[in-house]
Amino acid sequence: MADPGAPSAVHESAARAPGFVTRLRFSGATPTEVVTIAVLALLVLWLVLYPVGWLAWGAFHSGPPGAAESWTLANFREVFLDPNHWVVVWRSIVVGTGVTVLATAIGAPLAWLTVKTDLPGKRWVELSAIVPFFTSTFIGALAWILLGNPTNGVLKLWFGIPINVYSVGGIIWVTSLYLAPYMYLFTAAALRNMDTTFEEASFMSGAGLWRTLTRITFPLILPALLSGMTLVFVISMGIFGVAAILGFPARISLLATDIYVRALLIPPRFGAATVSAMTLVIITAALVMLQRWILRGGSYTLVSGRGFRIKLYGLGKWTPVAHAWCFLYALLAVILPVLVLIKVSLQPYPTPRFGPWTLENWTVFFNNDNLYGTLLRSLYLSTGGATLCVLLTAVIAYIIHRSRAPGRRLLEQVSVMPIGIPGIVMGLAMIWAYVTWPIWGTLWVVIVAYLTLFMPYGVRALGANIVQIHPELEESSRVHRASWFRTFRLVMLPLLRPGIYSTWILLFIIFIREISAAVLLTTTNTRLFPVLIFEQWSAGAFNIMCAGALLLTIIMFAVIMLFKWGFKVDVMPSYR
Amino acid sequence: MSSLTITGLSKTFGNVRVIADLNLQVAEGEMLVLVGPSGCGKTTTLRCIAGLESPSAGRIAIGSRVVTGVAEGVNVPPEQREIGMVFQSYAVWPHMTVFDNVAYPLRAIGVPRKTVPDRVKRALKLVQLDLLAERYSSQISGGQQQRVALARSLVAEPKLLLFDEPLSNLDASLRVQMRIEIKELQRHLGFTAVYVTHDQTEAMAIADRIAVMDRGVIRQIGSPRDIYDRPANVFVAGFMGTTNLLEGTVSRVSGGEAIVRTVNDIDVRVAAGDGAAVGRAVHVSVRPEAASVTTRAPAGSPENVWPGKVTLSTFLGDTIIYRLDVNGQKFDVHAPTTDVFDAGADVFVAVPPNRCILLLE
Repeated sequence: MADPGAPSAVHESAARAPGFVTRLRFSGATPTEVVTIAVLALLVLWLVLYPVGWLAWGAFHSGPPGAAESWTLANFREVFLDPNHWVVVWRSIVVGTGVTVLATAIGAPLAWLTVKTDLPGKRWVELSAIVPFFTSTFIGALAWILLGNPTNGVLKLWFGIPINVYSVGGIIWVTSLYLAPYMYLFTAAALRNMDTTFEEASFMSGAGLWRTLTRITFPLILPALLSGMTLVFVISMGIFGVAAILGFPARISLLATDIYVRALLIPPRFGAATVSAMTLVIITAALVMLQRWILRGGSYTLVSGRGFRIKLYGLGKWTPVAHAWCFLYALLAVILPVLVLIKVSLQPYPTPRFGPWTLENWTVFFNNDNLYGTLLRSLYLSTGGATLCVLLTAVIAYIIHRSRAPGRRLLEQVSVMPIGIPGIVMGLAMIWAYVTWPIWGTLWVVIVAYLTLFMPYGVRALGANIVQIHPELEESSRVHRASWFRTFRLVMLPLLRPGIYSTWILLFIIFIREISAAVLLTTTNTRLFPVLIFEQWSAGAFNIMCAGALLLTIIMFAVIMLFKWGFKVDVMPSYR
Repeated sequence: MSSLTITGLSKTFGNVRVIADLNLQVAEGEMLVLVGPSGCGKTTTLRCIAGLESPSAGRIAIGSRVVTGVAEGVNVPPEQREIGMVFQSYAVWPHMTVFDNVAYPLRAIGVPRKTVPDRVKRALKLVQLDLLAERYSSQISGGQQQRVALARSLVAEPKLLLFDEPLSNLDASLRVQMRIEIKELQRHLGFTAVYVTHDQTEAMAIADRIAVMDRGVIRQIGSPRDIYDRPANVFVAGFMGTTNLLEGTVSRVSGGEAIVRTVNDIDVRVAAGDGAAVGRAVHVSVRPEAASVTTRAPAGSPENVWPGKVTLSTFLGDTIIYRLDVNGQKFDVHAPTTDVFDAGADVFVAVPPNRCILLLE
């Protein structure tokens, strides 16, 4: 104040060109915060960009990972000049599109029925829409072989329904059944957050149900719908289990299985597999960017004010139809598959007949020396991996939503990038990136792969929880003498606890059932449970395979119930 | 307790200038209220003082200690500013008891463990909550949460207290009661405080001095009486209470008086201040309670007397609001309920010249 002229001159120059250092100093970020952000940003950049960079590098080199020789375009020639490759690309896009459309057609109406109508027995409908999410496409595909194979499928022999799951349609059908819960979750969250007065205002303006649905409800949930559809498309493009189990017998190749086959040929064609993986990741990344571009204006604020009611549409005479729709979905996605798995796991050979019965599969399974090691390994990996992932993504999500330090936008963009990377591609990229590292051949390389792949799920689920916590709760802590770290520890973490638990289960389930990234990464010493089941299938041991698939389902179910009853945490993955 | 000095404070979000070169001095033990319409920059100013927002330019000093100085590169984090703050949402942590909420600042500072319960109890006694120490926030009412927030902000004996619209979530009667309590507490403890509100009645009730803000600038600063009776400009006159604003031109200046001819050709006699030159475009502010309505023109009165017609009469119990048409100018009068005029009645309005405030800007 002694010299009012001098400081204002400085202010102006500072205002004209706010450099990084100036912005940093006046962002209100403390040194702890800045260091945390810097370390995390580097870590996340490393996790995502290092393997992807190696993948790109590998595409231009001859020789296998770790022993690459020279720059070459031969890999591109081998793949791109093969007309069959473009058939595979086209077929993959058809599958991805088909799954996205069908999963939306199944999931979105279920969401509308449970959130917006007076449908009785909603808890059951909700349950049947969520359970397939935890059963996974892989186990679903195993069950559907038994239900829908063209020669002795249960559906054909018992009910005379002639379907063939060993086909493009079969792949779309099975994948859609188990990805529909994603569409359900995205749509239900958007509908639940939508202020009912938007719809009421439409009715008051004289619009009917159809007009309100198409002109008001649909446009308002469109951003959420598009996010869900993009995710479903990317997952279905990179899904390995279904594509292998239903595609191999009919010689139907998709990009995901094409990568796998090229990498495991004798001798392996890693370069060609990498180019094939590049094709896949370019398609998915382009789609993710397209979705970002469409939603560039940001999503609408659907929540206005607090404590609004959710308008219930009376279904009236349509109630039985709605119930039938929900039951049909539960029947096809959960009840029939689980029943057929139980049945075949208790029979000596695959047969549609009722009997003979035996416990031999289970005893063989439990006497298999590999089993316990593999099962324990899978449990270690999922427990440890989910814990690491929750810790990492909790801090990332916190910074994205609450910090004002520069660099947080970059952190956000990089941490959700793996959404566009299919699992099988990540598996291949990990080989290139880490084959010369000491962690190669250990479980750590699998953990790093899963951490990278599923980071976006943690960031999103926890982010949705963090935005529910009023910023003033933290600001009040800062003002009342607590440092940034103390605030995070004493205010943010305890308030976030339920969200952390539910995110942990979500990640545990995703980790334990994951197969796409695992098939290329695991060796005999690091074999994981889903891979073991896949090997039983390859060996033609269907009945033992069914026992394995059931066991995996039971484990996932047990963990969910443990959390539901033990910690009172609802296992409803939340998305934003 | 310390004084507060803000010099040349500016804040821009992108291209929007929220605070524009703001200067403000709050004396030790003073309660200053920042009031203004939403978006005027009052909350941003408060958050800059708290360190929750970083200004683009300027300096903030609590006592002699500079806590924010853009030119000097000083930006003390909130927890080291030794302040207390009451938030609009109360921000009482739901996972802690009332006791733990209030003990929080003490534990964060690291005061001797044994002194904590005693100091917390004293703070809770101040706000009459000593019996609810073991409750959680979900088990107490909004008003009680507000008191917890107040006790928490006071417990560590801060140098400065900040209030961010603390009463806006309470219902009307509780709001009146709480603002009296806050004022009593401030008189009793003598703390320095900056209090932000958009409610001009609340501002007048609680303030030692009021700063009226609009679009990032303080338009007038003074005692509640000053602000209400002698508004400095059209914005302050209109924002603080209701008023009749008559637009016109100075047509004559003589002695201490001036005549303003309004756009509706009403001649208004006003007490003239500096700058009232003939031909200057001005406004005249007349508070509705300064005027009276009569049926006959008082002959030879020194007051301004204009004929008018009642267009609407609103009965409020203790007063009646008459909307009049005076030569095409809408004019409101708050009158006692003794004389009743119906809509359509021809009447006269009388206002003493010293209650007609000449506004040059």
